[in-house]
This record gives sequence, C-alpha cells and structure tokens, in this order.
Amino acid sequence: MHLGDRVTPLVDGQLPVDAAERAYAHLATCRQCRARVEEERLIKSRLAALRDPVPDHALLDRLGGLAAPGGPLAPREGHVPGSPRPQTVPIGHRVPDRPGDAGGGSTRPPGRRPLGRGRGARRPRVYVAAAMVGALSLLGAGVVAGVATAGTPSGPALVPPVDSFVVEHQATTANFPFIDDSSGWGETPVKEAGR
Amino acid sequence: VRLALARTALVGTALPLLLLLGLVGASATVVPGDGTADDDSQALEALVRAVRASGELAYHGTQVISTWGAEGGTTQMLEVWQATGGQRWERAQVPGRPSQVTSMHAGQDAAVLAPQYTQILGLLASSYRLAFGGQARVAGRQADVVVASNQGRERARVWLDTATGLPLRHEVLDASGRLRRIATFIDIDLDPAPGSIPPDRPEAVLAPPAWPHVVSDAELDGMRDHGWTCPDRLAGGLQLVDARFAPQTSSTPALHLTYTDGLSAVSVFLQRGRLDGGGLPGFAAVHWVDRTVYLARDWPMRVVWQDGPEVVTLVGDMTSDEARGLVAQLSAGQPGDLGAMARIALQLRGMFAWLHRDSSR
Repeated sequence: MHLGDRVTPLVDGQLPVDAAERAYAHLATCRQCRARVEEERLIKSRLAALRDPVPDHALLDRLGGLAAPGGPLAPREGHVPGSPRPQTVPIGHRVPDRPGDAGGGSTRPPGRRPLGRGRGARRPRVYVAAAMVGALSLLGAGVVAGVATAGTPSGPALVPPVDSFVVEHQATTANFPFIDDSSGWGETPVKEAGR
Repeated sequence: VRLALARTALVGTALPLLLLLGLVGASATVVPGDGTADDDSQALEALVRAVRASGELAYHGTQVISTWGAEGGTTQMLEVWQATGGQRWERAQVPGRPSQVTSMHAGQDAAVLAPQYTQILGLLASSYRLAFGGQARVAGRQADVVVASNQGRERARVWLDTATGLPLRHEVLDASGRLRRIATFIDIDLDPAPGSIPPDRPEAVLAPPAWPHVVSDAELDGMRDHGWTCPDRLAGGLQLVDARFAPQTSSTPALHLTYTDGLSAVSVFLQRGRLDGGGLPGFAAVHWVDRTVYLARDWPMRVVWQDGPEVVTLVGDMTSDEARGLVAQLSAGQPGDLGAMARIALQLRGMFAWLHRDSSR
C-alpha cells in the first residue's frame, strides 16, 4: 500500500514517529513513493527559495499618481495681493467675533483670523498640546504594555515535536564514542521495574 | 593507491592523536576538573585506538544497554552487525511491536569523523582523569580497562578489546557514584563470516540522518546577537560540539545545539513561540527554578519549558538533578516570574541593546 496523502506530512516532519517509521520502511522498497517524496521535497525547497513578491512598477506609478496634486485650486476668499487693503482698526477697539456683535462691525476680512489672544489664536497651541498629550499617552501605554509583556512569549501556540527531537539527538550523537543514545532511534526501550 | 592509503592512515591515527594532545593541552586551561597532566598516556592511546576501531571494524554481536534514572531503569537488548567502514544494523524488540525492528545506520568516512572524535576525546581527557585500570574479560575476550575519574570519584569505566581496541563494555556513574548506564556486549564475533553482514533481513528501517544544515560559527554569533540562547558551555563540563538548523520544510524553525563531555550528551532545541504545554502527552508539569517545566517520565530525559520568547526542549542522558541545573543555567537571563522592576530593567536593557545596534550600523 502506497503512502498516498502521507507524503506531505512525512516531508513536513509532521507524521508521528511510528507512522514515519512505517513510511520510511515503505520507502526502502517502493520506488514510486520514493519518487513522490523526492518530488514533494523539491517543490517545498523551491517554494522556500522563492523571494517575496515585488509589485509591478506601473501599479506603483498609478498608486503614486493618486497622491499627486490635482488641478488648480479655486481662488481663496479674503485679501488677494494687489487688491485694496482692509481698513485698519485702532488698538483697543474691540473686534466683534461674530457679525452683529457690538463694536462697530468686523473689519476682519473673511477667511482670515486675527492675531492676538482670541479663542481662535489658542487653537494651534491646543493642537500642539493635544498632540503632546497624545504622544505621551501613547508612549506611556507602550511602556506599560512593554513592561507588562516583557519576557512573555508571543506568536502562535507551539508544541515542540519532542519525538522528532529525540530522533535528531540520537542521529547527531550516533557517532559519539561511549554514548549509546543511537539505539532504537526514537523508540523507548523496554521498561523495567525501578531500582 | 599507496598514497591514498597512507593519507587515510595518517588521518586515522597520527593526526587524531596529535590533535587530541593539542586539544587536551588547550582545553585543560579552561575546563575545571582534574588536571590532564595526570592522564595515563597508555589510557589515552587506548581510547584513540578504541574510537577508530569502533568506526571501522566489522563485527556481529549482542549488546545490552541499561540506563537508570530517578523513576527507574530501562534495558534494551540489541543484535548488532557492523560492516567495515561503519555501516551498522541494529535489531531490537521495541514496545508495541509484534516483531523486532531492524534499523540501519549509514557509516561515515573516517576522515569526516576524525575531527569530531578528536574533539570528543579531547573533552573526555580534559574533563576527567584517565588511568589504565588493568585487564579483565568481557564476552569471553581479554580487555584493557580505562578508568575516568573526576574530583577523586570514579565516573566511568571502559573495557577495550586487547586485540583490536574495540570498546566491549562501559559503565557511567553519576556524581554520587550511582550507576547510570551500562552498555556491554554479552557475545561478539570480531571475525564474522563473509556474507553475514548485512543481516539476512533486508527490510531494515533507515535511521534518519541528522539535520543537514550545520550552523557555522558566524551564523551562531548572529543568532546570539538576535537574543538566542546559545552558550558555549553548560554545567558539568558539557561543551557545544555541534549546531544545526531544522530543515526548511519543518513547520517551526528550530536550532539544535549538541553538548558533550565525552561520556554524556545533551541536546538543546530552541524555537521561537508560545509553548502549549497541554499538547505534550506523557509529560508532567512540575515547578523547577521558579517556572513550570514539562518533564517526560521515561528515558531519555526530556524537559520542555518556556524561556522568554523561546521554547526550550532538553533531551539527553542526564539525571533529574542535572536537568534541573541545566534549566537554571539556560534560563539565567529569563526569570520565570518577572517582577515589575525586573520587567522594566529587561525592557530597558532590550531598548538600549536595540539603540546600540542601530547606532553601531
């Protein structure tokens, strides 16, 4: 009986030791399955040797074009160079924030905010402060998360293939003189009563 | 042909002996233990001859291997055939099988093995005091006995065939003097009939070879820079002698480090990930060195635990106490239960290491 769908797990080292042993025993006598295993190993090694995919240059250019500036923008409201300057306002004269406020009406051209200590002037600082607080929060969260997770494992759950490791240990030490770990290559010898 | 034979002879005998003596001299300065100056040159020469004979001679025999640990002992009886050149067949009865299983181990070229033999013999000679211990009989053959001791305690005894040098029996004791392992031939034929090797049952199972990707020193240094735990030495005089990567087809990359002192061998397997201890049937969760480790109950010793970002699997010929000591050593940089300050220190250390790496580029 041929290996069939056991070829892939055999090549991947996923077969249990006893099943792998039976498979190796079969391979010793079956040329057809040996060819399939060799083919599978070749495919795996070629796949492993493939580089990461590289995106097409034309695609990159089109994506870059999406981020490039478009046509000319519509003219901005307010003072345009070359046009008459708006009337100046004496110091101490309150400039109403909203149309209809007392104070003689607004001299501020639309689309432009006055410099000074008004609410609008505070906004950049508010943004900067908010950005700083945000950055500090992120940093703090990162430190806390780092402290909480330092030394802790990440990634998917892992069950070491200990039986395969025993086989590998025995294969590596098989030629060591005065060390007898090679016998049985992964089989547990007959257990006897403890001393 | 004569030149090739002469070269092989040089590689097989003179070179290992010279390298061994050089290694002994070099490693004696770094390995604590009994001084090698006291080593019996007759014992050293006998061991060099033994490792060569064990890799080259043809024989057929029956070998009994027994090991003992805290939870009891195991015994295995093997029928062994070895062809000239080291190709070897072992037939054994294993649990759960209706019949015996024959495994075949490919031999390796003596020139390939010579450096490894030399290194291991160097470790043996530098970790233990070696002395010629007289003669005895094993499996009906005359044998020379070599005794290895450490800090005044006998740790191993090896019986070498007087005529050929082949190891016939060896016993390894733990630090408290208890017998840990015996491997002995109970009968052996060093002049097997032509055609009797390989054995008559051809359906031998091929013993899987070691992972082919040997890790170079430069690769190992690179992995250490990336935080992998790859010490050159472990407690008890165990020295790193081999490092390999798992094949690329494996589901999870693994690094295999092999350590030996010449009498015992320990493997450390490292993987990056989060250990799922519930997926280890036959393992018991125990609390060692401020952490949970998963311990196999039977031979060989197997211990699995989470060590920071790594999952560590320890495999080898060791007692529970020795395994616990190795867990402590391998986890020295990664406390099991981190306190807040320890976590902060660890985090800062990692950040500084990262900054340092970036600034040094």
